[in-house]
Amino acid sequence: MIPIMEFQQRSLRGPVKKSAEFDLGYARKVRELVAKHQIAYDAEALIVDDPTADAIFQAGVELLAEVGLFHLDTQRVVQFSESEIREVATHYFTNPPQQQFGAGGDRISVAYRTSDDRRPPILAGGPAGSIQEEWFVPYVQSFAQEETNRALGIAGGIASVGGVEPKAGTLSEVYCALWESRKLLEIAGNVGRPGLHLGLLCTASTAGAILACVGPGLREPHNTQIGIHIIPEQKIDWTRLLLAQFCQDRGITPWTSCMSMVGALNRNGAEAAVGIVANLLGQLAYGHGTVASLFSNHLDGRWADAETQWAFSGAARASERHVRVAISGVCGGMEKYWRTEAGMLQAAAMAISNTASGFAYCWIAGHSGLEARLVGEILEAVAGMDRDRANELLRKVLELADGKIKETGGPRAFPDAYDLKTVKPKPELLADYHRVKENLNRLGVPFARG
Amino acid sequence: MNAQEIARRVADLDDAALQEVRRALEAGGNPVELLKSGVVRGLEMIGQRFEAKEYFLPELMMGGELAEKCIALIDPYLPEDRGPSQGVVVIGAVQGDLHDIGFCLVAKQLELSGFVVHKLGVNVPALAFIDKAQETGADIIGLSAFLITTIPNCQEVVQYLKDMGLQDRFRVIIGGAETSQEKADRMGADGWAPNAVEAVTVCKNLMRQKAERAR
Repeated sequence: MIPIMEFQQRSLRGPVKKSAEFDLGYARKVRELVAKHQIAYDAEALIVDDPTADAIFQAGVELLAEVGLFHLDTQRVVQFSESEIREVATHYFTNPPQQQFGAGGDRISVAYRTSDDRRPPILAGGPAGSIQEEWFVPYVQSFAQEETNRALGIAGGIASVGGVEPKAGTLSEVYCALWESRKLLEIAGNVGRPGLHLGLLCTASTAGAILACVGPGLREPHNTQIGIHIIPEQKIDWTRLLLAQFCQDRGITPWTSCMSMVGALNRNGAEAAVGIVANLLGQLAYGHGTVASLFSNHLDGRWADAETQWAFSGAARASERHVRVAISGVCGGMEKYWRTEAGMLQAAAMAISNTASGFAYCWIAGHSGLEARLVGEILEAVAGMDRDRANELLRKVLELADGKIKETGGPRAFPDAYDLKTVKPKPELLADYHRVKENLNRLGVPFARG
Repeated sequence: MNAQEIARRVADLDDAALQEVRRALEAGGNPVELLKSGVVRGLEMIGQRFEAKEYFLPELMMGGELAEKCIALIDPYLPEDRGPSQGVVVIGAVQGDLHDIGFCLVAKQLELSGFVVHKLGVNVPALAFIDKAQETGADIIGLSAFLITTIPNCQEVVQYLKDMGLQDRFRVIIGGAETSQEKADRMGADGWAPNAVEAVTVCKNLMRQKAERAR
């Protein structure tokens, strides 16, 4: 592995470039590599096959070797040789890490998983988006109290606390981030899960505020992760490197997030898949993480559709066959369909895709605890399913989701979906859940739980 | 005829556009016509292809580069009074925000639509936007924020403008994930757009309102 201090020199001595010049170089190279390796999005094969996964990995290695990472502060390119990149992959491949999160009875172990693994991915669901203070506690509790939900992977961001907004780089950012972290611990204790992994700290975005939340009785190595990424594409800065160094020094698992977007520098899912792999290898090189999340969306905000699912399936399967790091990802639907049948079906499709693409753990981000329950049930039901069967099932569920989307006006607000006092789903949401389960069962999801 | 060919070559991102421009100028073509019906029309076609998802951000960047080279060839032949630009925009990601794709797309779409755009990059302090706007005589300040923690830094720019008595001099637009019309209204911004194409419409409307006020 490349020592993190090595990135000091590379960040200060690499070729000087304008950011736009780097972006253009990335776009040209990813197009060239996708053509060279004959990688193409296939709407009929959303769970990507072995030869395509191998081609995506090879193209990802070449992409990182050709374009490197762009350091936003120094305006220089951090370069890697192809052999260095292969060494990073080999390091993980020969000794896949096993990562513990949480404490006591809430401890979980996350390890490399294959696409045909009979062990289901671990669910680490949590709220996402911008959360209002009035319903922060019941919203988070709806996830924390669900049996199938083993951790809070990501906890959204608090919009304001007592009228104080979390302004980056100021006292209010620290104030709100500390409030959030303390509330998460309080909620975990209230539902009898004091050792719950709290996942990524979302309300803080600057290094100062993130570090202010790390300490005894707050966020500690066993219950937190720190983001070391900039998305998208292939960018770093001193703060990301400082945070990665802090994680390595303090035994905190970095949140390695590899996202590549369709519609901006990438034209399609094939280019995004290659971008995700290059991103993964670049972040593992400096972050030395034990888990990594993979993700893709469209420039216009769409995700959870067939093409982005193909993209992250391709990248995940490339990692499964050549890197063997524990891969994670989101399995939720788009915010505009949260807490509706359409959103549940999108989340279901993502859950099937994640499971059959070798994800080790995943989280539903947003929605509510009830959808987390649904996703957990699906992960269990489809684990070990033959890839062809999973692919057929995924396509059917996406088709059903697309139909529902057309009749869905907008999301159901959390206070309309849950009783805020009892933290129980309201009858309308429960009815949607049961209807979706029935439909999924009819399409071929073999639920074990009622 | 030459102008149409230039427009087509620019839209196709074909460097032969430069040769066409040279040929047309040597043949005594009208430089204003070559600029407007040739280069600018080609840029409009690039914008249309982006909307149709035939082109992506790299094509916008390549088209912009090619157009700049064409304009450099035409420039010495243009009359001194060549008419005003659509407007001047200073744009960037506010302090603490490192997301660059969104505002770069808006900047490119604005350039393609005839605005003069000054990109300040990411993690830009509030006063740097205002300094640049004053320096360049900008009409509009564009603020990009993708995080819940960086949206308040958009408001900081608006507040500085008020406190410095500059709120009538510059219009402010915001954009980025987690922003909304409601948030723009609440902080006193003049516009919000959900994407790059609509950002151009918002800026054109603001410029039209400015022209109406001036009359």
